Amino acid sequence: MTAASQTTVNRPLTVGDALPSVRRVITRESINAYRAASGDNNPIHYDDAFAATTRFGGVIAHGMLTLALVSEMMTQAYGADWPVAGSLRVRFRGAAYPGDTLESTGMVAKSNADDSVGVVTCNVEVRNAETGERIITGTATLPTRPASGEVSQG
Amino acid sequence: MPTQIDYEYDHSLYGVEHQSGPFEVTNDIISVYARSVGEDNPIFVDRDAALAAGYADQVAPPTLCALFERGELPDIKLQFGRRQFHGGQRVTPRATIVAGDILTASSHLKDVYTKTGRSGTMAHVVWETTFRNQHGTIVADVQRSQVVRE
Repeated sequence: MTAASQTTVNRPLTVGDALPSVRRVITRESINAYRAASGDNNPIHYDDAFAATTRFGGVIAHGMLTLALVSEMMTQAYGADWPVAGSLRVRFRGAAYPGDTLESTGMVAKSNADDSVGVVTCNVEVRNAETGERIITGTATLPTRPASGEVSQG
Repeated sequence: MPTQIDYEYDHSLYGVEHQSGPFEVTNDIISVYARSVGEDNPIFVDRDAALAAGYADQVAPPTLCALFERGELPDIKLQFGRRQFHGGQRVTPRATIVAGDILTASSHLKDVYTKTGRSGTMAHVVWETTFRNQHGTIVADVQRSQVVRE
């Protein structure tokens, strides 16, 4: 298979470079769409009466749905390299509710882009844009040069 | 080496690979998933765009693996807590997943540990899963941390 190379101008490769932030409103519709796609039928994601009895107090979004903001930010910053070779490591720290506006931000924390290693590590987070509460924190890593040959480890 | 904790659970799960699948990655699944999480990169939503970019078919966002990982793991019978939530996730793509791929998953229990903070004690149950495609190529390593609360 040919690895696609989609060139992105001004990829953030230097320590301190900011990633383009992404904002999105969480809606009942997006939660339901993810529920349908994933088959994740935990009532905390749709049953108001049940959700009210939990410590969350109401219906919340799936963690993976909030994580999509990080993935989208990384795609905007690094183009097609991200979905193909990037890796993510995150913690879900807070819950997101329907109507919440979330914002993902990130910054290059470590860069070996210029030497033979060719790897960039970014600190990433998703916050509630209104309250500032942290929803996700973690790191995203990706190689900055195309892999030579098949990547296979086992 | 599992962490020693004060609560009982099924230790016999250590060292055992739990197989699940096959999971067929269809164009539909990729489209529905990409739409639901808001991924609008053309290679995820448009087969022709993916072909034009040099891929064999519509490309799956790497986090799509999590769809297949969920709900397939054995009960560790932890004698603690009542409610679970998704505490952390690690996704390391190893090769591109495209529509038409048939994936299988091999999971094992990595560790169970507890942490006590302001809101009480939480147990973390960590599973590692390796996804392979129909050619036997590893496409992703996924680690999921499930948190159980008092």
